[in-house]
Parts: sequence; C-alpha cells; structure tokens
Amino acid sequence: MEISGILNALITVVGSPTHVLLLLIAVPVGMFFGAIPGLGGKLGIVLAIPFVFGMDPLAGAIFLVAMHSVVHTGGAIPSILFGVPGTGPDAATVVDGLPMTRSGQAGRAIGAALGASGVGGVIGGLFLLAIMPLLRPVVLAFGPAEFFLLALFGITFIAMLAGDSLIKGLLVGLFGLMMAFVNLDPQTGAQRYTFDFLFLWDGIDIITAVLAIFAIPEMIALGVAGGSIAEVRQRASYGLQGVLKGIRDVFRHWGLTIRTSVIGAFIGMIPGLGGEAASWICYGHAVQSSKTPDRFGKGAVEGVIAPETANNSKEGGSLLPTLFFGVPGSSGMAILLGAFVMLGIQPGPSLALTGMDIVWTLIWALMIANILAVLMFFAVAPSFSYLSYVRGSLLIPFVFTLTYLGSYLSHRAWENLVLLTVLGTLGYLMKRHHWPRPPFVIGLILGPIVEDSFHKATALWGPLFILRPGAMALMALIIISFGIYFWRARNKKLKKAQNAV
Amino acid sequence: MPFRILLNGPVFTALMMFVVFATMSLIALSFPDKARLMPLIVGIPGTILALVQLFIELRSTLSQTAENADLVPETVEAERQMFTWMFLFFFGILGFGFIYAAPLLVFGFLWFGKEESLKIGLVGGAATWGILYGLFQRGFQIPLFDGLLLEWLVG
Amino acid sequence: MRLTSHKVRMAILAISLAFSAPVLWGVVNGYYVGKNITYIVATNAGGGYDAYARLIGGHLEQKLNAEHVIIRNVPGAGHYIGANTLARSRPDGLTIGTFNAGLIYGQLTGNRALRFDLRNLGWIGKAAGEPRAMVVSARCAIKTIDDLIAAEEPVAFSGAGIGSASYADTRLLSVALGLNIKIIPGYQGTESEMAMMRGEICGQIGSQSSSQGFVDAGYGSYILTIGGDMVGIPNAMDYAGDERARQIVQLISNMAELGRISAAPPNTPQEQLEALRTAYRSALEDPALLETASRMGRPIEPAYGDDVRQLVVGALDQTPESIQIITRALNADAL
Repeated sequence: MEISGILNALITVVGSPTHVLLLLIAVPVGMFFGAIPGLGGKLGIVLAIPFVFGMDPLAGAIFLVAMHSVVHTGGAIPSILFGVPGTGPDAATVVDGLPMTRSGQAGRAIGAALGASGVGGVIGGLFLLAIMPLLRPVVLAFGPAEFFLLALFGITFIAMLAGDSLIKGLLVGLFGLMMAFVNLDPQTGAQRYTFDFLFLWDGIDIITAVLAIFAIPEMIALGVAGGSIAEVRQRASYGLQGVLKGIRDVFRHWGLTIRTSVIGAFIGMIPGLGGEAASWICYGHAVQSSKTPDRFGKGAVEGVIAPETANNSKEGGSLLPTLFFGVPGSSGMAILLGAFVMLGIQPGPSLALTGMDIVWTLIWALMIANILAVLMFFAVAPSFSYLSYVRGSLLIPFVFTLTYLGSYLSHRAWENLVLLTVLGTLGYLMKRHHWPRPPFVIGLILGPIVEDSFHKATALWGPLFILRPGAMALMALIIISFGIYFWRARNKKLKKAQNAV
Repeated sequence: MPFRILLNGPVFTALMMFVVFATMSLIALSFPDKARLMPLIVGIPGTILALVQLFIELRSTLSQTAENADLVPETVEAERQMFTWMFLFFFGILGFGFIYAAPLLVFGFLWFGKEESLKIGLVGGAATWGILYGLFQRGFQIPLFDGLLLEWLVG
Repeated sequence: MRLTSHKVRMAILAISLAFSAPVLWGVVNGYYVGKNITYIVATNAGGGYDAYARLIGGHLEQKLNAEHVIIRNVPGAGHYIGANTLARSRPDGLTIGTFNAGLIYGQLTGNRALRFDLRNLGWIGKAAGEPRAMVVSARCAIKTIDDLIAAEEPVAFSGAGIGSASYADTRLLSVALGLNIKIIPGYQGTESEMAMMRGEICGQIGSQSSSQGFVDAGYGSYILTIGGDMVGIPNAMDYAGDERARQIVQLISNMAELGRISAAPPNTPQEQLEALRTAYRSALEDPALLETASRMGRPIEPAYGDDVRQLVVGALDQTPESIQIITRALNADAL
C-alpha cells in the first residue's frame, strides 16, 4: 500500500469539500474547548458525538480527531496571557509564558506556542508513520519497572527546576508527591488522608491543583500590584510582529523543537505514562539542555516551545495504541475510541490489516488540523496579545470566575472549590516567598505513577525488578542526567568565583 | 528578638511546611504496610528538609536588621483586599452557585472593588451571566453548580 | 450472541405497545409536560454508563413528553458519589440516575461510603447485563480453566483497585472455585490488557464485552464465563464445588445481570415511578433506540421495574457467612 495509499489518504482529506469544511469547523471548536479551563478535549468529544453520529464514519472520525488534536493549541492562550492553564498539560507553558507576557512579549509567546503546537502536531503525525512497524515491541517494552524509573526520572527534574534554592524546590516537589498520596489506596483499599471525604478518594484533582497553584496566585498578585499583566508599556509596532517573531523562534530552536516533539510523541505512545507528564518532562529537558538554564522561569521562549510541541505531538503518539491495540493512549483517547466504535470503525490489530487507509487519513487530518490551527489563529493572535495590556482589574474577576468554573467542571465536585481556595492561598504564599511552584505539579502528577508501578513491579518480580534491562537503562539515564546537572552547577560556581576575583 | 518579628512570612511558610510533612508522616504510620511505604519515604526526608529550611529562614531573619521589605504596608493592605475578594468569590459561588453569584461578584468587583464605571460593571456582570447561563447551562447542557445554600433552601 | 429474530422482536414490540399504549397516553397527558428531568450519571462524561444514559435519556424525553432530559455527571469514589447524590435528590419523579450495581458489595460489607439502602431506591429498570468472563493471555501457559485449577504455582492475575467491585469479583471467584491465583491490584481499565500482552499478567476477570476486542485480536482467549453464556466456554457454576461456592457464583452472576441500572430516589411517588418505568420500557423497546444502540456497539438486554428490584433484593440477601467471605474479599490482599 505504502506511498500511494498514503497519498490517497491525503487526497481523501483535502479533496473532499465536506472534509475540509469539517476541518475548518473542528479546529476552532477544539481550540475553544482547550482554552476554557476545565472543559478540555474530552468534553468536546462527548458534546460533539451527537452531531457526528449521523455522519459518514470517516467524516465523523476526521472531525473528532481534528478537534481533539488542537485542544492544547487553544489551551496555551490563557496559560500565556493570564497564567491560567487551559488544560492540565498547558500548565508547563505558564512557567515561562506568563513572564513573557509580563515583559510585553505576549505576542511572541503566543506565536511561539502556536508555531510549536503546529510543528509538534505535524512531527507527532510523522512520528506515527515512522514508528508504526516498531509499535508493538516498543510499547510492550514498557512495564511497571520501566514506568517506575521513568517517573523517577521525571521527578529528578524537580531538582533542575528548583531555581535558586535547591532545598525549597525539593520541598515543594516532595509536597506535591505527598499530595499525590491523598487517595483511597488502590493497593490496599486504605483511606489515606481523606478524612472521610469521598471526593478525595480518587486523589487530588489535577486541574484544580494546577489552577490553584498557578492561576489564583497570579490574579491575586496582579490585583495587588495593579496595572496590567504586561509590566512594560505597549510598543506601537507590536502585535503581528511579535507573533511572527515567536513563530520564527520555533524554527530558530529547531533542535529543541524536534527533540521535544519526538519525546512528546513517544510518551504519548506509551499508554500509562499520561500526557500530563509529557509537557513537564519536555520542559525539564529544555532547561537541562540549555546553555543558560537561568533564563527559565523568567521568560525564556524555549520554555514555551518545549511543552507546547510535546502537548500536540503526544496526541499523535497516543493515537497509535488507540488505533492499533484498541488500548487508549490517554483518557481523551478512551472517549475517542468509544466514538470510533460508535461510528463503526473498529480499532484493534485488525485495523492494521484492513483499515490502514482510515489510519493514514486520520493521521493526515491530525497534521492538517494542526497547521490550520496556526493559520486560523495567526490572524487573531495579535488581538489576543493586546489583552495583556488591559487593566488587570478588568481581567481579574473574569479569570477568577473561569478558574472556579474550570475547577468545578473538571470533576463536578463543589468540594474542589474549597480545595481550589485553600491551595490557591498556599500557592500565593509560595509565590510571595519565592518558593518554586512547578515542582509541586510534577510531584502531584508523577506521584501516583511512581507508587503504583513500584508496588506492581515488586509484586511481580520482587525488589530486584531494578535489574531488568529496561530499568537499568533508565537508571543509567537518571545518573547521567544528574551528573550533567551537577557538573554544570559546579562550572557555574567556578565561573562565579573566577569573576569575583 | 520579639517573637512576632521572628514569625515573618518566610519563616511562617517554612514552619507550615514542616508541620504538614511531620503531620502527614505521623498519620502515615497508621496506614497498612504497603499504603504507608511511599508516604514515609517521601514524608520523612521532607520533614527533615523542612526543618533545615526552617533553620535557614530563622537564621537569616536573626542576622538581618529589621529591613523587611516584604512588610510594606501598602502591599499588605492590597493583599488583604484581594484575599477578601477571593473569599467573596469562593463563598458566593459556594453558597449561591455560578449563575447567580458569579455575575454579581464580577459586577461587584469591577464597580465596587476597583471603582470602574457603572457601565463596565454592568456589562461585565451581564457578559458573565450570558456565558455561564447561555453557553454552558443552555448551550452545552452542562448543569452548573447551584450553590449549597440555594440547594438547601430549594431542596 | 443471543439475537432474537427480527420478526419475533417486532411481535414483542407490537404487543408491548398495545399494552402500554393506554398507560402511555395517561403519561403523555400528564406530569412531565414542560418539565426537566435530571439523569444523574455516576461517572464522568464519555464512559459506558454515560453513553447509555444519553441514549436512553433522549428517548425518555419523547416518551414522557418532558421538556428536556439533562445528563448530570457526578463522578468519583467508584460511583458512590453519584449514587449518594441520587439517593439524596428530591423524590419528585424529576430526578433519576444510573450507577454501577457493584455498590451492592458495598452495602453487604457495610461500606460507610454508601449513605443509603439500595433496596429503598425506586427501581426503574436495567438496560443491559454485564456478564463476566475470565480471559487469559496468549502468552500464558494456562489455556483452560482446568489448567488454572490444577496450577501449583500461583498464577498472576490483574485486579482493579482494592475495594472496587471488579476486584471483589476477582477475589470472590478465586475463593469460590479454589483458584491458586495471585492478584496484582491497581490495574485500571485497559492497563490490564497491556500487561497481558507483555506477558507479566496471565489473566483477568472482567466484563465480557470489554475483553472482546482483545480476544478477537488474538492476544488472549476466554476460558470461563460467569453470569452469561458463551458458546463453547465453560460456565463458572459448573465448577462450583459446594453450596458456598454456588452461592458466591450466583451472587456474581446476579450482579453481572444488573448491568446498566437506572433508579429514582427513595420515596418517589408510585405514580411517577410507574410513568418512568413505562417510559423506560417503551424507550428500550423502541426500534430507533435499538438500532442506534446496536450501531454504537451497546447491547440492550433489558429488565424492568420490579424484576430489577427483585434482583437487587436477592443479591443483598446473603448469609452472614457469605458476608464475611465478601468482606474479606473486598479488603486487604491476604494472598
């Protein structure tokens, strides 16, 4: 089938006016759902299903995939402008996106996010094509032992994102981890730190935590400081130029862009790692691989590019197990899977034998949707960036409302509003007294994976699971990564000492 | 040195961290074996580190003269105001739900809190209501939280 | 799959419509006109219970001539939050809900999370059963249930979170049939299938329909059914050695039958309950719904009103000894 089949699929997507129309509708809808915190792609799919149900199965599938693949592109907008993550994975974009807005570079940040999302999505799709023959062995190589070490690897990033004070960073990370243990322990059925609150049985809601730690403190700080989010005066020739600059940045840092796209796609491909982790791991990678890691957290454009490429490429990656194993790569994919079945498309290994044309078509839809998102939003991006110059007092009440709404929508639990307020206060204290906040989210996200995979691995192989080849390889990775970190830190200290002389 | 000055912001935060870690670690001891493993592995080092950080903060406070730039009165006042509003939003939405509380609160914040013009306040409130009711409740058919007080009153 | 022929279905439909027409007429002219009905779903949007609720809710709207059936997702704590919310709702016939019948285990073991008595709900009906099946990985040495029973070394099986209904099923079955299995808890949803593909887990006990894709793909095979019949696959009841084992298998089978249940809060007035039951039945017999459901891959094997109530009451009627076994099965992994 190969090349001709792939090209045929492309023609199927762009050649049919219906399909093109569907793409043109799906993209803004998907971005919209991503931009409203708490809505997210999952709800978008669920709401779209009734509309899509009567359609031709392929058209319906194209619509859903296209819509889902640009959710994080939309999610970057409020993350950058207000510090309110549109979706969980977009929280990583806040860390450098918001400081960029503050320094008057909102347009550039949005441009970078757009470009990164688009490129990430496309590379994610290409990754799908490339890795398809290797899919089974790769996915099956990751079991509990490997998950444990991967999560541990992610946690070591906490040290690297600690900023100025290592101890504070570690503490915040450990605190995030502790919060991850608040649940009805699946391993023992014991209630841990739930104090009889049913809503805590499933753990602390990530969206609520992320909104509390990032959005609320920013709004309070904005209200305290007065003025607008951008702390510099508006330059006249702004808007579009900034956006273009941001897009150019994506290509300027092409090495990072490609690497994080591939990492993101890879993480998306392994069901069980979770897409939340992808953006943070890639953010950490950007910090680690940069020659000037100190710029991160203060408005480094790479800090926007890395998570945004990962966000979109992971969608491509997670399409793989969903289509070929019938095993959803993420919870959003689970719903997509259900939708496919409803449409009459039967995911699973049989798809590889009889339905490759559908697969190629969907991959094209994903890539084209990502490109369309960039083009469609490009025109309005400058106007969005002007929001950063609006008086804070005009924005704050809306953002507060949006934040509370987002937290509620995530799990329909009013108790989460309490959690939001409490954690939000904590988040503000952390911001005020210069405790780094990203480690908290990393701990919260990776904690369950670390614990769960540890217990499974020990149950299956005993404590010696560490000696499994995959595990040892990852262990080596962790040690190397730590080594590089300390070596760099030492060099920095030496340089400082030299300069002082 | 007066105790109150010792208990400044950074010290307080570190102290809170210590208290949280210590408490959670102690509570973890009551869990069954497998359930307490990870919390203790994380909690005990956390408690120790928090203690270290607490000492660091105390030391830096003690070695400082009273130049607490943090305690600028205007900042404290502004913080108090913002927190008041946040709690108003919180209790308002908790008690009366999104559709009723949010537009009122948005209006209140704009007109009353930040002294924007009446027009802006009203437009803001109306827009909030429009989006919450029109888009979410009606359009998406997502029933929004009605507020605990309202739910109790209406049954 | 047990498919009755189209003609027989049509005949049944015609007869039911004839009988329910007068009642329907009364309903149509009545209470629900212009009112909204809230359908509480104890899971987040997008899952199986949600899908059934949206499908049935749409038809209920027509049958009852209601203004709208609003789906309200109340997820969390393994369906307990949604179920509790349903039980707390105003019994005015305007709220109904659906949740996992596995909460029956919770009531049997006195789980504090359950804040009401399941028997008191106004039972409307169930849309489908969820028969269970044991699936073993193709990479596992165990190929039949007899192999498993004869196994000398503990065989690794996956389990969901301890305390969940599906974990309880797995433990209870292994106790009933005396299986030498070691349950590794914490496997949610399809994680278990991935683990089976990797060969680290030998088998799982789960819903028959959700494992179908896995089996069709050749990654595993069914070796036992519980609560539903499959051609050529042994039934668990055949392997139940004594009365205690039979009781347990019967319990699991009953729970399996109570797949997608729907109920109204306790003390819902009889008139409204009847109207809801009638409309529910009418919806589930509507050829349009049946066709949509079949396209969606959602089986419809309904039971209504008091039949469902009997099943629930029956499942809750256990000897103290059985309750002890169940309690132990639901708590820490003694294996």
